[in-house]
Amino acid sequence: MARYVVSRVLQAIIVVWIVTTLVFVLVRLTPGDAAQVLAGPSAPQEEIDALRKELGLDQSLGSQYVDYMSRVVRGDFRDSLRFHESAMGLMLDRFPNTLKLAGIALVISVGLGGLIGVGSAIHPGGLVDRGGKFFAILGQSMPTFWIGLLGILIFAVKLGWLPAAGPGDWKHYILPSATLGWFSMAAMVRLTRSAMLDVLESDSVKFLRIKGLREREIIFKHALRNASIPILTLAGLQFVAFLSGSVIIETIFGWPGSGRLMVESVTARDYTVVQAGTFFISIVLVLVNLVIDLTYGFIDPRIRFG
Amino acid sequence: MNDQREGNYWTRKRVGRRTILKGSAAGAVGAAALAAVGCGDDDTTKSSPTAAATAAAGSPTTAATTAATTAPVVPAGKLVIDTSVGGGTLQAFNPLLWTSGGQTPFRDAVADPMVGIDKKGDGFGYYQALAQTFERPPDGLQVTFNLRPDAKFGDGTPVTSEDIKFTLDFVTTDPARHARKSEWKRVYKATETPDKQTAVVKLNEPYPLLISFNFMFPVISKAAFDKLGFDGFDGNPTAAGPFKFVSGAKGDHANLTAVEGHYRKTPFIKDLVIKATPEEATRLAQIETGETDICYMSPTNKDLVKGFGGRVATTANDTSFWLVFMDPYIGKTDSPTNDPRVREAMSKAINRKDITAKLLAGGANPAGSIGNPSIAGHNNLAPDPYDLTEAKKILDAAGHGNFQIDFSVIAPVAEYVNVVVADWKKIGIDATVKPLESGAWLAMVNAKKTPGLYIEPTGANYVDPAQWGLFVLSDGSFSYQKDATLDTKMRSIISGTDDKARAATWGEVQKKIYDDRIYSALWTTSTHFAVGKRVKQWDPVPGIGYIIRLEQAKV
Repeated sequence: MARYVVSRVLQAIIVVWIVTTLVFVLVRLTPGDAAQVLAGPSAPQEEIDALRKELGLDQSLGSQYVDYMSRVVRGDFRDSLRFHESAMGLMLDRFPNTLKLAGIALVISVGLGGLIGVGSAIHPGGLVDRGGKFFAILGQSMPTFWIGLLGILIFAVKLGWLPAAGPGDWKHYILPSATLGWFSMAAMVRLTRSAMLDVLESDSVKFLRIKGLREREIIFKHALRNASIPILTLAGLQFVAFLSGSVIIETIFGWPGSGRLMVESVTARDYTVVQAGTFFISIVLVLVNLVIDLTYGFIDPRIRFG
Repeated sequence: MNDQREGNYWTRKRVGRRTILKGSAAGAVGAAALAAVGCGDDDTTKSSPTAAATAAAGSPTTAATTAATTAPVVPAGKLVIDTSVGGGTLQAFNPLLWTSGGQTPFRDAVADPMVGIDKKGDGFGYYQALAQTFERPPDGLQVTFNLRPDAKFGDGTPVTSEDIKFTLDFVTTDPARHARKSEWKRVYKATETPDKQTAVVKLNEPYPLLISFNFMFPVISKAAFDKLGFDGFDGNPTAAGPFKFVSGAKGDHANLTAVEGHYRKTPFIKDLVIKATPEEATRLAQIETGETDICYMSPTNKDLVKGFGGRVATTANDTSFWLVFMDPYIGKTDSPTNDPRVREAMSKAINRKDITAKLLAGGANPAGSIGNPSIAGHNNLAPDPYDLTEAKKILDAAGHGNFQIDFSVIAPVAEYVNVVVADWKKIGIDATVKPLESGAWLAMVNAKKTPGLYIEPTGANYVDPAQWGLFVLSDGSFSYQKDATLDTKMRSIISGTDDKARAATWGEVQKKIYDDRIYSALWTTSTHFAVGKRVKQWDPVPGIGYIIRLEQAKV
């Protein structure tokens, strides 16, 4: 087990290094430079050149990379070129907002999607099965930005039940997280249904029925646990997708999350924030994947890590 | 000067015989200032910094008189504005770190300059803010600002000449960033402070923008800065605006509160929130629900806003659009656009009338001259008529019946670009549209190596002809012309001290650009704002495309 964890950590370091190097190179290959964008459209060339020198952007790519990597290992990602605040600090300020949305969206996707999937598997072809599948596929068919705008139009503008956008009390979380979660729900419904159907038809479940266990106990205590490996895998992938792909939702709902920060930083050529953000997100994603992998062994004792 | 139009706080302050009689002593100072400046121009239809000097004649006691006769304003309520520029809006909370127009609403709310800008008639004009009067000798090598004795920062401390000196020095230092920094470093010599109420700004060369552009140099508190340091002050600024900073998150929002008993204008509203929502549909939804009170919008949504009971407010032609032909500048000798007749033909093949009316939803007006129509000296030249037959004839006469040219545009490609390209095709010009992301587009423009043409959109916040040097001087960052005559004229505008002469020369510059077809003006657009039902009073300043003067808003 320890060997497994160590090997995964080493792999994570390599992945993070590759990702951050790629981002470092790619942002600098983008046409237009940070100094020009930061100095503003009215700035004369001398002002732009002075700013470029101040930001170290006049150095060669190699020098910039060496400087960058030596800072990364010390945890120093420099200040945001736009905001004059720690780039990593900005990410850490904004990330909890994204995390909250992602968490609630995951609860919706896994909770509601899982429930519908289980119901569909128990009564295949029934009302729950057909209705649940339709609801889930509807969410998957419509683009998230459209769902978001529709949600704002119906629930905020027409009905006045919920606020349209922005952070605030618990009501502000409903529309953005539901929009985020609904899209992923279809996959969760289908996978849960499929996994449950497989397990419910297995000999072990037949044996439990012969033993006389109650159906509810069979489904939720035994069958669901056996079906949960693929569900957990998908949940992990979805959570990772929520964390890194919430940009559209954050833009539509004016949510001050890390996704929106990253996109705006790319547009503004705020290299330091893009680099810090990418590093942070890749660490988070690797950790989430590691936790999920370790959880397999907890759920299924047959799985051992050599 | 005695404009009694309602809705403008500054014009209301100037009326009244008592005001004039009580101001007679100070009026002598103002009159001396006028004589020294050498201009008695009071152009009420176009902006002029000297109109501010003229108004100074009545201003020293105006504040006291106003205070005596007007009941004090007690701020109440909350106003939420959405500036929708994302991170560009609130990059810094230090109002002096001003690098883009998107920061203007915040800057103008928390900080006052010495000479401010506001609505005047159907345009904009200047008013005394922290400076009660200013004097400028004919050589223009210094400006003496006489500060209001009652001016205070948001923390209650008085504004003194040391703060003026600190502010103007600060812009020249690193890591300070300011849109006019390099220019200011070139022209600024020093500020002398003979007493607490007097700041004498010494210049290396005449710089009329110090007055007309003064609102871009909001005064900050030296004491607060010394106490908090660069980063600390950026997180907690102290300035002399009608609002003061409470809290916020850079790139996202700022919470401000009214300064009660403000020396100039106590806001009607108590709490002001500035935020930025990138998606327009969401912004308008929030206007409809009342979560936001004022936001930017595109003209295509005018009917939608009116439909739900909101109001659409517009500036008057603050942004100018024109065609820039890059080939002549970069020396592409085989390009047909080197021939002014070809440029004329291309201009006459553009249906400005229908594009502005239909595709730009009436939020634009055809233009013949580049530049902001609100600024002094604007030469209102007739736009080229749309005539494909004439355009084709001119093209054929020039011997360039058919050719291909690259057309670099900012992504996403606007509909009117496709319309223009289609019309050009009808006269034999094959324009290949090359969409570029905005940062890449900016790099392309500044690099001056790309052949073809592009459309330049500029003007919002360009209140003085001197600012157009960027586009007209041969060495301007955005300039694609090399005309010595234009350079001479432009330099006389930039360093001239006679505002009337500067305005007249600007008209000549526009005429030369028009006659020689250096650039082809397309149209001017107005910035549109959606205003929610709660807002009883607020209007934008004509010619300035930003949400400002929020101290005058009422809910």
